[in-house]
Formats: sequence, C-alpha cells, structure tokens
Amino acid sequence: MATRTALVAWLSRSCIISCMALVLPPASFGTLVRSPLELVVCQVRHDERPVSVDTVLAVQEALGGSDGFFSRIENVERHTAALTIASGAMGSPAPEVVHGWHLKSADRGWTAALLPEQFSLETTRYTNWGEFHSRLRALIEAIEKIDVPSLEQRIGLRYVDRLVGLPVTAAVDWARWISAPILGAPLHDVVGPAVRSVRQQVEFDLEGDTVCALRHGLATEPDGDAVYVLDFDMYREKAQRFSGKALLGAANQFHQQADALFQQVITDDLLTYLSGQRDD
Amino acid sequence: MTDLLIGSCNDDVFWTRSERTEAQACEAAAQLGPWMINFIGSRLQSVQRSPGRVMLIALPGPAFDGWSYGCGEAVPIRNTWAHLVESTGGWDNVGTCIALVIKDIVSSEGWGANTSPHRPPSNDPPVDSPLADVLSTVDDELRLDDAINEVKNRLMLSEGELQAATGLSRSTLWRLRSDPDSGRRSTTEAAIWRLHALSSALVRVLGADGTRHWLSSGDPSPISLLNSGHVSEVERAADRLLFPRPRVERSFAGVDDSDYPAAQTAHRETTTHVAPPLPRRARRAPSGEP
Repeated sequence: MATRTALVAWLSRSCIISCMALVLPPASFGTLVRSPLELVVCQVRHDERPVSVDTVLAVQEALGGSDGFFSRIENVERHTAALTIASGAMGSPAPEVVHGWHLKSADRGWTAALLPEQFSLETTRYTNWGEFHSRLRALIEAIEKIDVPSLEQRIGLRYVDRLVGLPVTAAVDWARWISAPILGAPLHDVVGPAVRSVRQQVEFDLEGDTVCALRHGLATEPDGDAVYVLDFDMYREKAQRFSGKALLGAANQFHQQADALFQQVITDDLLTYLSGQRDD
Repeated sequence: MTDLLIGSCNDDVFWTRSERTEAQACEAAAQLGPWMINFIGSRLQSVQRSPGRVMLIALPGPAFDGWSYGCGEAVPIRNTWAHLVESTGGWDNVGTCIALVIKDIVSSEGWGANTSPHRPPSNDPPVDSPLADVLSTVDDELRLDDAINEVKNRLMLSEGELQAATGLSRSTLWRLRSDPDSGRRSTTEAAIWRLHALSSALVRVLGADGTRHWLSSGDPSPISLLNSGHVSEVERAADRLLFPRPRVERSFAGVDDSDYPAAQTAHRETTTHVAPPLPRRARRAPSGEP
C-alpha cells in the first residue's frame, strides 16, 4: 500500500510538466563578424483597422519622406481562401483579400509593413541592434502620432540564423557547433547515423511574459550544402493598451533574451568561429 | 479542378499552434512552388478521380511550417495556407481534414505567376510557378491503364520493374488495369500516379530522350533505384533538375568600424586573432545595445 501511494505520488509529480520562467545569463559575446543572421523581423499585432493611402503617406513622411530611407511605397494584398469539408459537403467561400502597404528601402533590404491588423519592420540586411531599434522606434512613433491603434495584441521579434558552409558531412558533425541537448537525435548511438534531417520546435518561458518558440533543425540543401537553421521567435501575447514605449521596451528585452538564448544553443566552438577568431 | 486533402493526424499534439512572427519579404517565398510540390509529393496518400475533379489526399506534417527547405523561409505559406482550414479530428473523418483547393488558388490572382501571396514589386524578376505548370497538365480524363503505359514508356520500365517501383503485385496491377472502377482503390493507385507525375515532370523539363538519358546516368542510376523500389530517392534527384534553386543573393550589409560602438572597438583592438570583417555579412550586436 505504501508502495502504491508512493507510486501515485511520483506519477502525480512526474506527469505534469511544469516550467519556470527562465532568467538567462546574459550573452557574453560581442560582435560576430560571421553572423549567420538571415532575417530579423519585429511584428506588432493590434486591433484591426483599414490602412488608408493618407495613413501610409503620412507614415512615410514621418520616416523621412519619399527621399528618405523608406523611399518606395508598394501596395500589397493578402489572399486567404478557406475550404471546409464537413460530412461530405464541400464549400469554397470567396478568398478574403486584405489590403495593406509596404514601405521599402531603396535597396529593398528593409520593409516596414502596414496592414490592417499589424505592422512590422523587417530586414535581410541587419547590421546591429542599434540600427534596427532606431528604425523600429521611428516606425512606432510615426504610427502613434498618425493613427494609433487602441490595443496591442502581440509583439514578436524573430531572428532567423542560418548556419552554412561549416565542415559538416554527417548530421552528427553538428555536435561540434550545436549544443548536444539541443541537437538531439543525430547523437543517438544507434539511429543517429541514419538521421537525414531534423526539425524541432521548443518553447521556452522566459523572464517577464516572454515566450520563445525556437524552431531549429538541420537539412541538406538541394545543392548539397549542410545547413542548420535556428529560428528564434521571441514574443509576448497579451492584449493591452497600445503603448509605443512599452513595445520598444519589450523589443529590447526580446533582443537581449534572444542573444542569451543563442549562446546557450550553440557551442563555444561555433561562437569562436562566428567571432572570427578561428577559420574552419 | 484539383483538390488537395490533408489529413490532420495528431500533429497538433506535437506542433503547437503558436502564432508566428511573420515576415513579409517576397524573396522569402521564392521557393514556395517547388516546396509545395515537394510537400504534396512527399505526403501523397492517394488520388481519386471523378469527372471534372482530381482529388489528392495527403498527410500533413510539420513541414507545413517548413522553413528548412531551400532559402529557408516559408512564412507566406503559413500566412496563407495554414490559415485555410482548421483540422479538428482524425484522418478517418473526412469532415476533419484540412482541404486546399490547389487549382483555385493557382489560378487566382494571389498565386499564378507569383508564388507570394503578396504581389511582388513590378520590377522584381518573375517567380516561376511550377505548381501551375504541373496542374495545367493534369488530365482529368486520363485512364489508369493509359497512365501505366505512359509510366512504362517514359521511365523505360518493364512490367516487373514497374511492380518493383510501385510495390504492387502483378495481380494487383492486372486488377487495376482490367477494372479500374471496381470499388475504391485510391491508395493502391497512388503509387502509379506518383510515378506518372514524376515521369510527366521529367519529360516536360528534359524531353523524352533527355529523360531516358538521365535515367540511365550516374551510379546508382535513377533507373536502378526505381527498379529497387527507391522512388523517393529518384524524386529527390529529379527535384534538383526540375526545380533548380534560384540563387537568392544574400545581401547583408558590410561591417565597418563605424558600426562598432567605442567600447566594442577597444575590445576588438585587443583581440589579435580577429579576422578582418567579411564583406556582406551581418553581425549580431552586443547585448544591451542600444
């Protein structure tokens, strides 16, 4: 009886996955001259409202006008179609079309998107957080000034790192670059050598209300290159009154947490390599 | 009309439906067409034909969120496709399948020659839509017997090799050919239609002679792989021919001294092994900035 009670108690403890908000040690690395960053995007979702031509022109003007950094305006449409099958019946309602605007830099490396239910800033030409943050600040301040939403529903900051060009011929070779507990299956004694690709999603509760969805995995590209993708999506999903100051504070926090998490996920060897202190 | 049905299975258990921070970049969608073909091909379970309609039944997978293919970013897929239909139950219940009307979307304004749901800038190079090409060649009236003959002819397969490639026995093939309408054997037919799609795509791109040449080249050659039933490996090899990956320029800003804050510059000066900054690379800024 005592054994059974103990078993029930153990099961009660072990069957519930509890997690605590993680306070990460801050990142200790500086500039990465071989940064694998491919995409950085910060997106804010808010209550829905149409984005008029006047609004987008005013935002562009606030960001420097047609001669400024975001010199191009492009109309975008998002098509969403739905088909429902139920009990043999099939219905295909007309696609929903959402109209919005993109403000683009002249080199197209930066996009500020204004859509009815969201705005975002993204770049494939990330240089440093200082630049990104200042452009994000300008965008948020412009929106606050011109057509402020009532409600913030979600803010996310996403870093997509793409590791390629490293001496990797088998999945297990990533163990040199990716932290072993994160890498997972390729390290298995028996099935590891057979691993061809890996895709995993891990969600972390971080300090504050931050959640990080880390999507990561390895694959071989069609041209034969081994690639490892680390996709950090830091976000907070909490409806609250829209506040530009709060959004910028959250973005700052996400950035620091993403850097700290990045360091936990990779090995010292990779950090050394990315820092440019060693050639491989 | 071509439909794609995707069974729901239990992926929600393992792949939570957390919303994603979405990107907008058009270049992120450059691989959408090939990716979608891959997606369909790898999960195709069966094909059902009826007058005026081809129904593909496929399994879903986490690759629906598939950033790991090609240039790595499939956010537009997420935006458009993942929101199409909700799946709420098991595969056995048709009413709980995710369903996508491929051809409707291909022919719609939002797809067609543009693989991004967002209209690309007019001066961007057009993005091919192999999905549209493939679907435009779908012949709703093609009989299974004709399809088998085409597969054998295009892929130079004997009856025995066709059995090996499809995993179907001689008697099953005979039954399918002799009485294609006797009951539903869509799952059984799928192996044949899979090969037919592969052979059609190869002939379309390489021509009949080119296809035969390609099939017999290399070691192991695709034809030997087919003969040993390794259709997936042949599809992977063909994928590189059918969908050559466009070279997406990775345009990152260069890093120069002005990018470094003063403290960082001092740090760099004391590090003798730091390689000179590479051109066209981004950097991850130190924590705490700005």
